[in-house]
Order: sequence, then structure tokens, then C-alpha cells
Amino acid sequence: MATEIIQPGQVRRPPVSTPAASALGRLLNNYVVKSLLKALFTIWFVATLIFFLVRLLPSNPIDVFIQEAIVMRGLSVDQARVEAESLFALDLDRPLPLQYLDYLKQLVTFNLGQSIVSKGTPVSSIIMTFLPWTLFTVGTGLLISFVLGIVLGTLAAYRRGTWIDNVISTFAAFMEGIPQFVLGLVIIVFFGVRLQWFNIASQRGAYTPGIEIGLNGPFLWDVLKHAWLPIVAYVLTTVSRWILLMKNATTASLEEDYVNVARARGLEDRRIASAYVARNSILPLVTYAAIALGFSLGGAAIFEQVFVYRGIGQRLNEALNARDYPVMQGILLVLTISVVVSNLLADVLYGRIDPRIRIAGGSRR
Amino acid sequence: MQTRSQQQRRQDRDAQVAARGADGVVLSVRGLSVEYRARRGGVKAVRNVDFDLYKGESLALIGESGCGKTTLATALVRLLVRMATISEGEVLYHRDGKTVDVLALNEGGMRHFRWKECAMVFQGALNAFNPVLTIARQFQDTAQAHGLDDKAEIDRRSRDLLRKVQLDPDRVLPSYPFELSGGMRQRVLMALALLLEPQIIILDEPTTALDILTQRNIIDMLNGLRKELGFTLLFVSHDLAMAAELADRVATMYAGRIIELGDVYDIFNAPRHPYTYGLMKATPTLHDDASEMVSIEGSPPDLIDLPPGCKFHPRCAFMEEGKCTTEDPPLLEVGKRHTAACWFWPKVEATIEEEKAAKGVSRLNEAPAEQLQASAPQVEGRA
Repeated sequence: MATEIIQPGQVRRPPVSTPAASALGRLLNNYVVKSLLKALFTIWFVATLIFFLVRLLPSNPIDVFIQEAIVMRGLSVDQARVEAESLFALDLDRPLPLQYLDYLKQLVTFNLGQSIVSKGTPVSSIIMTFLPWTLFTVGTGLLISFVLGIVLGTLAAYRRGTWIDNVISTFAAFMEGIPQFVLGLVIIVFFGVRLQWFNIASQRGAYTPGIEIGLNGPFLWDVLKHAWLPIVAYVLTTVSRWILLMKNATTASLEEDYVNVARARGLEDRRIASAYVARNSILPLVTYAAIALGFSLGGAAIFEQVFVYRGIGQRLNEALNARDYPVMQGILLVLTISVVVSNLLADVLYGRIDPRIRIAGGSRR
Repeated sequence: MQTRSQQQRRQDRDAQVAARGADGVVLSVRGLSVEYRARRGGVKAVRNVDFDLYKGESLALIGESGCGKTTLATALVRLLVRMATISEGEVLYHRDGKTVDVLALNEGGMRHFRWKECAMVFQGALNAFNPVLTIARQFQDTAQAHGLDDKAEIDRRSRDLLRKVQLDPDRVLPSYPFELSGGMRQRVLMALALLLEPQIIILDEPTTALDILTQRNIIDMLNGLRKELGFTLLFVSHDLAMAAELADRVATMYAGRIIELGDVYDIFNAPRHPYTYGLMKATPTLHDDASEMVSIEGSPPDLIDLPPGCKFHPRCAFMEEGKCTTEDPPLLEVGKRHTAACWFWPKVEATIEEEKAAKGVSRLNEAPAEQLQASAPQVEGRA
């Protein structure tokens, strides 16, 4: 539709159709609705994948539990099975397709089951306890990293060929090559252990145990004291990507005809830099940023392990080590959903800020 | 022999020139040179160019690709790319008895000069607009940059101008650039160029990349607007047909210099520089066989390492060892308001007269515009 040629004095008109059909058609054609439907499909697909993959794993946890109950507590096989069923809310005799349907029903009501290791604790409450900390560190880190990257990338592009550009670009290229966990270890070992710039032991966890939790100064300060290291490490390892992307995008934008024409039109430099160069350069980066948020949550697994930060990533590691399958399943699903949701967010955002997509998608004004 | 209409046009032109008087100059360029820094050395893209632009006239810069037309036009508003610098020269702008030294303006002064006094419209209108802003917003941006903040007034002017370029303001203004066709964008850009009522409009290849019917439309529109609004037009083209239709005067450029400058029918009917003569012969017309077309031998010189003497001599049929190979000719008076940079221009004149006599009714003797416009040729390289 975007390529349709419009003759002078004539503008694209929507195709003529009956009112009812066009209302439904327009709804399904709506950019946001389309993206939502796609996202729902993806979540269902991955949830299914997780369900069957978990059941393909060797040594299923329920068998392990039954075995344990028989051997350790002398229960009969049937008693053990009943206990397992009540505990895991699973009927083991049900055929797999029916179990699958139960699982889907649970998912629709946002019921993720219960932990095996901490018996009786719903997986959802575990996630609600740990996810906010990861969201906080990764979200803050991403925001700082994104803004910093855009500023430095723009600076490098405007001053390309000068020493400023050289310093920024070399730094970015260097940092781009260092994996997050390596940088984390370097920071801890070198600055923490060697130089003793900060006390690593007091960095552990998301906050100091025993502190009064709430919206008060000391607590927030304590939270920052625990989070700054992961945040700094996150920023240092991701800022290079934003710098390089922004530098490339801005360099390309600066060569665009419309920027040159804007200069010829006598527009002020500030207006050209913001509405003509930056706005067009940031467009593709917004998508990356939203997607990066989703993936960073998953990537936090190793990262939080290094810093012993009590976030969702570390909890996933714990569940893995303890073979706490419901928790694993729940966290994996949440991480999947976060990737899907951030993709959706990217789609919607992009549609909002780029008229070419918004209008071609059919939700014009 | 001249046709009656041609005599008429010549007289009109004389009257026009007489009417503007001595103070009719709006832009005066002296000794302008532009160099590009390249690895092999300086590229002398524009060399020692002199010309005056008169109020209300239309001047065409023609020549092959790479002869410095666009660089010259761009230098006038100081929007050259970073590798290029104006190495010497003077550009004086006149309005209402005041004179501005354009090359001495600071950044702020230059910003106000652009578009408000002199609107430079680059080649390639397809990407001239910011893709994420509506046309209305880009009109506002332009007006506000020059101190016009009254939204209603901007809207009124924009609508007025869009109607002048035969577009429907209600449909164009709320649109994004990608919703408009190439021809429409070219028109919108024209309207935008007129928004601040600049005294001079510079157009770089205004019709390149447009189909032939759209080209026709744009040319007619430009002629209409010029009659109505009376702005001064400087345009760059390698399309001789367009120059014939739109220009009062034509300047031929070769290797960074203006080598011939004169009234449009003199340039087309009685060129005095061998290069201009070659360009005319390389252009097909309705009346002649294609076999009569002759391309210019050789290719333009290397602008880093220019030949000595006349820069055209390696390709010139009239070249004579000695003078041509050692001394670069200045612009010599060859007729009324007609100068050419050739030592042997009388030889060119004689050849043209011979040709005319041999053919009886020569194509060069006809009014050029009517012939050329029908074929709309493009002189690019060897045509």
C-alpha cells in the first residue's frame, strides 16, 4: 500500500465495502490488534513447547518424589501417588493430551502450579518476589545504557574523524567484545578483592537482610547500594551496542537529502538535530531497545549469579540445581512472555513513531 | 535569416534588459573558486567564475556531468559538502539598495540568507522531506525558522502556494511525504521554496528523475510562477530542452569554468565556443536524422591535473598549437550580451554560417525551443 502511486490532486481512499465487514476487517487489519494476535500465538506455542520439553527430560520430578516417599516414609505406591497428585495438582494417570489441556486451563487462569522444593509455595508468588528486582536492575541499566549510547553515538557521528569519535568508537568496539559475566568477574576480582574499592560481601542480595522494607530513605539507599554493581556492569557491557548503532544511524541520517534540504531551508541547527536527524536515527533503535529488555531478563541468569543478586535469574539457577521443575517451567514461561511482550511493545512503539508503518498498517489518525 | 517571432523575442529581450537599468543585479559573483580535497590533490571543481544575476531573469547553467554546475550553485548558499571549500572569490547579494557579502556572513546570518533571500532546491525532491513529519509541519518549521510564528498566516500562505502549484492543500498538508508521488513532492518543494518570497530561487536539476509528462508539467508550472511572482531563477540542468524553454540567458560550463554566456537564442542559434557548438550538435531534434547527431570526442579533463592552456583544447576541432595549448582564454565579447572563452571564436562562427548556407534552412536557424522541447533530449556525456 505504501508504494501505491498517487496522482496529483488525489489521495489514497479506503476500499469500499459493507459497514459490518469493514468494521471487522478494519479491526483485524489494525496494527495493534494484528501484533497482539501474533503475540498470543507465540506465547501459546512456547508454553506448549515448554510443557512437552519438561516431560521429555530424564528423571521426572514426580517419579523422584514418589520414589522418595516410598523409600523414606514407607508409603505405599498408591498413597505416594495420591500425595503427589494432591501436591502437584496433577493427575498422573490422565493421558498426556488431557494433562496438556489441564495445563492450558491453568495458564489461562494464570496458575503456574507450586514449587516442589519449597512445598506449597505457588510459583507465581516466587516470580512476583524475584522478578521486580531483575526488572529494576535491568530496566535501570537499559535506560542509562540507551540514553548514554544515544548521546555518545550522536556525538561520535557529528564529530566523525576527530579524536572524540576515535575515543568513543574504540571504547565501544573494545567493550562490545567483552561478555557480561567476564566483566562482572573482572569488576569483582579486581576492584572488589584486589583494590578493595567496595565490600563485596555487603553487595550480596537485593537488600541487607533485616532492614525495614518500605518506601523509606534508608531502604531505597540500601537497594541502590546492592544494585549499582550489576547496573554498572550491565551498562558497560551494553552501551557499546547503542553507541555503534546510533553512530551508524546518525551518520546515515546526516547524509540524507532531507537534512541537507533542511539546512538549505535555514532551519536552526537544534531543530535539524532533533526532529530531522535524531528522530529518524532513533527510530530503528527503539525496536532494539524493547527487544533488548526482553532478552536481558533471560540473560540475567548468569549475571545475577556472578553478583549474587537476588533476582529472577538467580532463582532460575536455584530451581535448575534443585530440579524444581514447576518453578523452572514458570520462570521460563515468564521470560518467554517478557521477550514476546517486549517485541509487541517494539512493534506498537514503532508503529506509533513511524508514520510509514502506522498508516500502511491501516490505523490512520 | 530570422523568423518574425524570433525578431520579436529579441526585441522583447532588449526592452527587458533596458528596463532593469544599471542596478538590476541581485547577485554578483566574482572570481569564485571551489576546491575539493581528494587523496590525489585538490579537485578544482569551480575555477574563477564571474557572472551577474539580474532581477527577474532566468539563467541556466548547462554542461556535462562533473563540470561544476551543481558545485557552483551550492557554493552560492554555502552548503558544500565537508571536503569542499570556497578557495577564493566574492558573492555579493543585493536587495532594496543594500548589499550583503554572502561569503562573509556568519552562521546565523547565513541561516537567515538561506531560503528567505535565496532558496536552493537540491536535486532529488523524492527525499527532500523529512519522512516522519507531515507536509504542514515542514512548512511551519521553515516559516518559524525565519521568524514567522503566526500559524494561521503560515497556513494561509501554504494553502495559497500549494494551489499555485496545482495541488489540493486539504489533501497535501496533512499528508506524510511517502503518501505523495514524485511529481507531487517536486511541486510541494516548489511551493515550499516560495513560502518566504525569496528574491532568488536556485534549482538543481529540477526535473531529473521525473517522467517526461511530469517534466512538462513542472516546466510549465515554473514558467507560470515566474510570470506571476517575478522571482529570479538560477537553474542547473544538463537537459538542453529545458534550458531552451525556461531560461532567458544560458551559461555553458566546462571544467569548472563558465566558457560561454549569452541570451538563450544566441547560445542555441549562434554559439561561439566550440564546446557549446558541440553540445548543440550532440542534441537530437525533430527535423534532423539521428545520423546528423555528432558527439563530442574525448571526455572531460581530470579536474585535479588540468591540461595547460584552454581546458577544452584536447577535444577541440578548432584547436591550434601554440595559443590554445598555452594560454587559457578569458571570456571575450563575441556579440551583444554574449561572451565566449575561445581564441578562435570567429572560426566557429564561420563554420556555423557555412553549415547554414549549405543546408539552406538549418536547424540552428530555427527557433530552438520549439524544436527541442518536442524531443526533450538529455545531454549526458556523449548524448
